[in-house]
This record gives sequence, structure tokens and C-alpha cells, in this order.
Amino acid sequence: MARRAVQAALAVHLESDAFLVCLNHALSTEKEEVMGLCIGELKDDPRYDSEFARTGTETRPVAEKVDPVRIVHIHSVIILRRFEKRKDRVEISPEQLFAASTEAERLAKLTGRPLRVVGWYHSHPHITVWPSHVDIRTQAMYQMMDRGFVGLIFSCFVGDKKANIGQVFYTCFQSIQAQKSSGYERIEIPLHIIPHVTMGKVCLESAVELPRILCQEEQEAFRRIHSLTHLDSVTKIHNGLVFTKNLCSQMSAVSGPLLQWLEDRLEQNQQQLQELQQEKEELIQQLSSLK
Amino acid sequence: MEGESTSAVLSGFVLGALSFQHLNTDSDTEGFLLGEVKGEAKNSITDSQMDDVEVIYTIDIQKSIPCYRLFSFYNSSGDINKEALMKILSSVKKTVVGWYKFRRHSDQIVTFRERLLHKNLQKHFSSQDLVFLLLTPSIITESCSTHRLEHALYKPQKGLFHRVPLVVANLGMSEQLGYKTVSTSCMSSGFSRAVKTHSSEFFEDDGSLKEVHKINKMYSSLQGELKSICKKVEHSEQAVEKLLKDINRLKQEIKKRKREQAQAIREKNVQKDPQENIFLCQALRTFFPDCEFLHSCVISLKSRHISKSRCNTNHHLNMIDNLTLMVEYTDIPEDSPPGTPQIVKRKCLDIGDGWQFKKSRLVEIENNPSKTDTDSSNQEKATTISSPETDEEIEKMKGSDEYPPSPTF
Repeated sequence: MARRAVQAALAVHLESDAFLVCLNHALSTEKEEVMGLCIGELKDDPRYDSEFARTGTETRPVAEKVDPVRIVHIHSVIILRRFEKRKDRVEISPEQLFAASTEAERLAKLTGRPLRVVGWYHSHPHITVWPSHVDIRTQAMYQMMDRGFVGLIFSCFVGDKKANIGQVFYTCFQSIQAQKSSGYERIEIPLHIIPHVTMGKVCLESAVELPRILCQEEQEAFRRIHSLTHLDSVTKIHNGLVFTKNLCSQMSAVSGPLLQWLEDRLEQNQQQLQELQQEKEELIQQLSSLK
Repeated sequence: MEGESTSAVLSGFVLGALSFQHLNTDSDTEGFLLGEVKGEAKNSITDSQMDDVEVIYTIDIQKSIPCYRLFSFYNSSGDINKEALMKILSSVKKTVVGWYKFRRHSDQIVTFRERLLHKNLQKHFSSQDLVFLLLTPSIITESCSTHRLEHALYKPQKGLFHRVPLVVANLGMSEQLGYKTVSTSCMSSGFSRAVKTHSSEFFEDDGSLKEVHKINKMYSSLQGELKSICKKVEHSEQAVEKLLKDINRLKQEIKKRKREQAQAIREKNVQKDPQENIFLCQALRTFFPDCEFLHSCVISLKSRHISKSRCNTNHHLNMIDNLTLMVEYTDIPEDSPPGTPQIVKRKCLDIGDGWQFKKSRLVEIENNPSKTDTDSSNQEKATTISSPETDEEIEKMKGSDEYPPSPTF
């Protein structure tokens, strides 16, 4: 007997460069959860369509209205700031959703593809990859506005410490009404990483947003502290230097390594360019000899 | 005793780059790891006499060089193709610290070929400290919803491949609240450029920090304030101390004067009107009428010698009523057990008997001054002491075993 609730998303296809941005973001800190939004489009899976056409009328009651199940194709992600940094309270504000939608529209125009906000991701540092009750409820809420909305979770800084084996997990899920209780429960959504040998422009831009967002968060925190009128001058000087200290930490831990990776990537690409150029010339010669 | 421990660190971006390369490739992937090895000697004082020096090696993996094909620098036997290797690492400026491999759906165990290859690489690079990073991605759910990437760093030690702890450096690492003794080595030229541009705003020409100078100056001013207030307080303390001393001195002086005055008054009172102990005088005259010695001076109530001349006043003190304790003599039964000292006074005595006894003793003393040593000393004492006390006298008259009865007259 098939379950009444039908998952709205068949599978998630995540472009590898978008995946890289998520992974970098998740690995940037083990102290708190990070989050972001996924930009992409819904695609029909031709295989599924035919299968649906074949078996749909048999297994599903006629009365039930079924939306075509699609593949969620994630092209890029937007790194978000967390205003509420309570543990296990990863929530995206309506303003952030709106801003992300606007950005998706911009990208849609740029790429000519029907891009929109299709999902969200967040990290579970030192925690299991499975979504918590809060996560499942949040996901259910998003699904109310968009049935195809998906959730991704990255679990990092976990592993077998004694055996010195490190692990990184990532999963994709949606929420459905729990059959036995009144709440929600998760359902697994197949997740496939789609190879994307070069890094796309959008992903690169998202990647370098990370230090800027971290800096913004720090500035916001400092501004709130500095505006406290009851603090004396010595305390204010102290706080100013704490701000400096925190930014230095960010520069050393995030900006520096990010810069380093991009410089290495550039060098690698330049080297590869030479080799590829050579290969191309050889192929042209080969082609011309075949004519 | 020397200890050694090794650990490794790499940034999330390096791990991400490795994963990215792997995800874009159908097959297993491999490549080289570049970076540097830092050693830090840490002295640890233990119970043993010798200082335990522990050397902590940290392998900092900073960059990865991917190989675009498998077997690009080695063959199936694990033999290295040196030329190919040189080509791969031609533009490398940093040190090769190890190599890596992504193996899909396999276990975290180093294969035989990998061991061979590692040994050959160690020989090629003439480094016994090369490490091998093995990454094993897999899908852990049937629905393919959840993926896992395991990674571990291996280093051969005495032939066995041990796993070295690998830390992914990140912003949230345990914050050092004190001074930092190591900095994450960043070789990025862009980083150096940005930092150098603004260096002059933080550093003086001699390399010292401007912020440090500023705060030191403020601290000095604060210290100056402390010194100045300290001096003022010191003076005020001294003034208070001096006044307290003066006051104490004055109080003492006043006490002393008052005491002296009181004393003077007392003495004056005493000298003005020393009261004669008339009872004593009368008693001595009544009971020792012939003893000139006992009538030779006048004694005050406080046993002070008032006058050296005899008192000739008849004090009219009735013998029976005022001078004596007259009780009829009765025999006291000997009920006290033997051995108890005869502290019990004989309550009554025939006047005559006791009287005779005493009189004879006194006469003895008077007439025989040189009789016995004790007697002579008694006499000496009797004559020299100007204020004789009747109790004392009786004490002297004691025989060796006899307790004289207490004076009842």
C-alpha cells in the first residue's frame, strides 16, 4: 500500500561548484552552525515522467491530485548571515528570503534560466547529520510556501577521534506529516553531485562573500556593544581592541586561506591552460589530417 | 627522555579543493600535498629529575597538486617514473609533505600498492616524514540521500602505517586567550600585499606597535596619578600618626600626674593622721606588761611604725570585751585520726597555762639571746623588725614538733 503522502521532490542534483561553496562554508567554523540558500530550477526527469505515465493511474487514486515530481537542480548558493545564533535555531528571516529571491531573479536574467530559491542548507558541526525536530519543522514551514523546497545538511568536525579518522557527511531531506504523531518527520531525498569541472562565476563570487559576511557580523556585534552608553572609556578601548582581535582571527583563519586557495587555483589553471592548449593544437592537427 | 608527537593541519579550503577535484572525476583521484613541517620543543617538568622535552611536529598542509590521471607518475608495481614526477612538480616552490588518494566505496586501509608507492616516494624525496592522505567517500543510505567522506592521514613508523591526527583549521578553533606563539603560515601574495599596504598604520619604523605605545602612555599617566596621590596620602598619614602620638603622650602625662597627686594626697593623709592600733597597744600592755621591748613603739592600723617612743595613753579598752575571746576551757576529745596535722585549734585554753608557756618562751628569748641558732635568729628578727606581727612571732616560737595554739588571751 503506497503512502498517501507523496514526496514532492524526486531527487536533488547539486552542481559540484555549488557543493564546494557549501562545504567551504560549513568547514569555516566548528563553533556555530552556518546557513545559506540554494538557487536553482526544477527540471523534469524524463525517465520518471514515462514511469509515472505507466504506473500513475494504477497506484494512485484518481481523486488525488498529484503534482509532477521534479528534480531540483541547484546551480549556486547564497551564504547568509545568522542574526539569531542560538544553538539549533537555524532560521532564515523573511527579509533574507526576499533578498535571495531578488538575487535569483537577477541570476535568472543573467543566465537565461528560470532560476529561483529552491532550498536551504545549514551545517551541523560536531553533530550528527540528521535533521533535528526544529530543522524538520522549519523545513515543513518552507514546504508550505513551496512544495519542492529541499533541505541540505552538512555534518563536519565529526569522526572517530581515537582512530584519527575524520568524517564529513551531507544529506538531503524534506518533511512530511508524521503518520503516528501530530508532528512532522523527515523523508530522505536522493542527492547527486553533478560534476562541474570548472568553477562557475556565481559560485566563485559566493565563495568570496564568506569573509565579507563574517566581517559584517563582527561589525554589527561591535556596533551594538559600542553603542552602550554606560561603558567607560577604558572599557570602550578594550572592546575596540577585541574587535581588532576578532578581525585578525578572521583574516588568519578565513581570508588568508581563501586567498591562498584561489591563488593556487589560478596557478593550477594557468598551468592547465598550457597543457590544454597543447592538447588542442594536437587535436586540430589530427582533425586536419583526417580530412 | 624525549617524546615525540606528530599532528597535521589543513584548512577547509584545501579539503574542499581535494573534494572538488574528486567529484568532477569518474575514477579515483590522487595528487601531492605541499606545505611545511614545524617542530616545537615543549619542556614538561615531571616528577623525575630530568626535564622531559617533548618535540611536537605539526605538518601544515597548505596546497594540493592534483594529478589528472591515475598512474601518472608510477606503474602498477609502484615504481616511480621520475621524469613524470618532475614534470608534475615542476613549478612547485613549496616542500612536498605527502600525497593523497581518493578511493570510492572502500575502507580506510592502506593497500599494498600504496605502501610500496609510499616507500618509493620516501626514497625519491629523501624524506622519512612523508604522509599519505587517504580519502574514502561513500553513500551510506539506499536512497542515496546521505553521503560520507572519510579521511585519515597515514605515516609509516617502524614499518607500520600509523594514523596521524588531522585537524581542519577553522575560525571556531579553541580561542587562545593569551598571546599567540604561532601564526598560521599564509603564503598568499595577495594577503601579504594587503597587509603590507596598511602596515605603517599599525607599526612604527622600528617594528614596534603603535597601539602598544598608546596604551603604555595612558598607563604611565595612570601610574603617575597613583604616585602623586600616594605621596599626599603618605603625608596625611604621617600627620595623623604624629597627632595620635602627641595625644597619647598627653594622656599618659595626665594619668601620671593624677596618680602622683592621688598618691601625694594619700601619703599626706597617712602622715597627717596615722591611726594608732590601740587594740594592739593595749593588748601588749595588758598581757606583756613587763616586756619593755613591746611597748617601745607605736604601731598604726596598717602596721606602720608611727612613733619610736612608747605610747603612754591608757586606751581604756576593757580586757574582757575588746581584747580577748574568752571561752571556758574544756577537754577536746581526740577524735581526729592519727596523722592528721593538728590544724584544729584548741578552742580554749586555760589562760594561765598558755600564758605561762608563752611568757616563759619570751623570757627565754630575752634572757638567752645566744642559746640556739634558731633562737638567736628569732631574737634578731624580733629586735630588728620594727613592726612586729604577733602571728609571725608565734611562728618563730614554734618547737620542732609542736603546733603552738593560736593566741587566745
